[in-house]
Amino acid sequence: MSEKFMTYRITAKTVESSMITSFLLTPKTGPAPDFHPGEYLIFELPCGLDGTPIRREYSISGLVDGALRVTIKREPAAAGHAPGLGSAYFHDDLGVGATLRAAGPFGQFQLDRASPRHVVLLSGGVGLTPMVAMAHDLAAKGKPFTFIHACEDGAVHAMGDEMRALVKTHKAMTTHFCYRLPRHEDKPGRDYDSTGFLTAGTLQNLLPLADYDFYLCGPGPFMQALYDILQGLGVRDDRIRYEFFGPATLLRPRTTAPNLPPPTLRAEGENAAPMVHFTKSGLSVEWDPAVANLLEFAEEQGLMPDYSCRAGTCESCKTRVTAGETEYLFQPFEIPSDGSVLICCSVPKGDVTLDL
Amino acid sequence: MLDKPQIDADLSDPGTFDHGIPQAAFAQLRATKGLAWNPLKDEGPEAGFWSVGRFDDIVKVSRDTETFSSAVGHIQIYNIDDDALSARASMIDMDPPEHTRLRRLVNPGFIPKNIRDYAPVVKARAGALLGKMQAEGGGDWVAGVAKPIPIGIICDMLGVPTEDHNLMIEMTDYLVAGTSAAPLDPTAYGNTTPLRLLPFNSPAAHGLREYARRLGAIRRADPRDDLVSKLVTLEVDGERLTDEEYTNFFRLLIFAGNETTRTAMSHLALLMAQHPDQFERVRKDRSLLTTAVEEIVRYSTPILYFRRTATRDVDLSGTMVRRGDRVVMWYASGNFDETRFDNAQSFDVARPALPFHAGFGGGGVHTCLGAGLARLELAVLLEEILDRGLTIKILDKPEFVNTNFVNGIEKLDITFGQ
Repeated sequence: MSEKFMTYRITAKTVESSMITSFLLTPKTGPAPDFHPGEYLIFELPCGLDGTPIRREYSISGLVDGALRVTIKREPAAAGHAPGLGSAYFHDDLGVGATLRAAGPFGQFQLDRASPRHVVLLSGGVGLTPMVAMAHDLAAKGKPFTFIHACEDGAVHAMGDEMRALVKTHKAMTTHFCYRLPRHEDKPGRDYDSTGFLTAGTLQNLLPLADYDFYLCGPGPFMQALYDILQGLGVRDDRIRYEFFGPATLLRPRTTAPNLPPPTLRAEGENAAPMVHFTKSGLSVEWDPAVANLLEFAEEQGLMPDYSCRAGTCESCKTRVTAGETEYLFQPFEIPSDGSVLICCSVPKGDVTLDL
Repeated sequence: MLDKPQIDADLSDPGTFDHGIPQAAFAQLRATKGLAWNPLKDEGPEAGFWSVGRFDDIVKVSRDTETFSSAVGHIQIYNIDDDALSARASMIDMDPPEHTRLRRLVNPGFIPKNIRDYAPVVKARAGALLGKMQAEGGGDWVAGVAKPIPIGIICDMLGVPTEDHNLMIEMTDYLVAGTSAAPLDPTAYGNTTPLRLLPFNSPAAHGLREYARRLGAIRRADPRDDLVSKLVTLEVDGERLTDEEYTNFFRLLIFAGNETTRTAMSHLALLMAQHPDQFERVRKDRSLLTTAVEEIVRYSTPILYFRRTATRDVDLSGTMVRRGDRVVMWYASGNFDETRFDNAQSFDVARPALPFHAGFGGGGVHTCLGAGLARLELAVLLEEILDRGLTIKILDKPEFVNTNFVNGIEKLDITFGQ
């Protein structure tokens, strides 16, 4: 592990899926630093908006021919949104032969190599990158594990073939891929094993009763959903390790945390609208997609948050999000530096809790 | 002598705006390196203001209330003395936190949930006024449609009785006339206050203040569910608004909810006459109503500018603005900035709402309180016109109000096609 920035040269660039590309990084001098599966590198990239360098973290997805591999999803532009700076730079500006600077590996989220237990790797979307590193490590040591991955469809599914190839040579490994909405060309059995979302039922079928080590990685709503399922199946907190990709909050069991609102009954499946919880007002309301943004939504419930411009140019409406995620309808002038959200131009991305 | 670039036109001269937005002058302004200096010879050899014409620069000024103050100096180009300013100050002449305190008082009245109740009222009024004009075979759109609708709505919101609506029109007309060079009778409306202490330097402001006072007293005794009742009974930090704070608020709301929307409605008719094919698109596809309204506001930019005063030396767009300098945000220039709006000079009812225009301000906490209400009034009026299958022909070139502040139309004689 190194605190200092080293220079790496990109020695391979491989497209893994429609959104995800891997980069092999060979140090300019000396061998690649040792890394623990689950760890990440911190890159210093010259692609900041005003010319100043930015720092981005990307998980190491494996060691290939003595080079560290990072696997990066292109964060796309949305209406009014610029694409993710770091990912766009990797995808568009870096090719084989380019050099860049990175420090690390770092990370608290690490495979517990000493544990005797069967490992379950649970990932959503590009959260699979540290899981792939863990999978290779476990396979190399002949240890039993289950690799479970959820994503949209076969087009965006990265490294599926790599994991299927690993299964062929490693008998103590099982895979399960869940496509939310398979394409016509995706075939059940060959490409995916279940559709929609991962459920308690899926996990119970895959994992007979035993004491497992669970590793979770992916976006917020995925994490909370899986965490809830595991809790419901009686898995202890200390058997669950997780890393968020994106804004991180602590995963808390819904039924025991005093500050979270009580669980509310709602339909399962793709068509359920997210719940919006207003902690100060004690309200929990199902989101109405016909309402333009969270500010108006709050007003419809009789709340009166502060506002001025209603266009993302002042910070009057900024509100703390204490659980879940929101997404911006367009890029506001400045995203508040304290992690709060401009609700006049945001909508929920899954269940969300607002400090209103 | 400092080398301050200037454009050919004098933007302090209302005459520059005699034919609407001076597009050539603003194009020159936007092409100027840095900011352009506009002398004010009447005030003195060194007097003047910086003109900001590019959209991004306008936003920088507008969002930074600490550097570019609305409270130090006035938000109109001409300077006024401190005592005059404090006498007339409403929230528009304040910076946070004073601004915030007052803005929060009126915010609830203008949220979508509360203003949508006015849609049927606007529809009924628009219907009646259009019907009347149709029966008469045409007429002055401004007096017949554009003036009465907005004043009716803001008066309803405030709680001004119907019989006083015309008085409000008259007095606010004089307020705007006060921003032009034409002198007014200083004793109008029984005024005895020196003009320099009156908003817009207009005796009509005195008239409005006295009216507001009388109405306020009536509502305090018998509060109703309207804005005036709220303003005279609410307490902020345990205290009621002072007499001055309340009457200044009243004047601000009466002016803002009236003059500006009227202007947009006048331009709506003008644009319908000039671009009938565009409005035919909206008639066939009503999902274009929202973007058509935005485009009308962008294209007509009813409020041409607001001014700020620099509280410190600051580099803006490569120009060193000194502490105390006046900085004028020309929204009407920003709205035609080609680097922001593709084919900025063309009127396109399907132009996407993003990137947003500066018709409701350049961003920040002073963004138009009534933006939602204005949009609603314009959309309902436009829809009523389209539902009736009306097309508009203008009989004469529009006469613009003699001011550099509002892109107002004095008179617009029209007939209907069908």
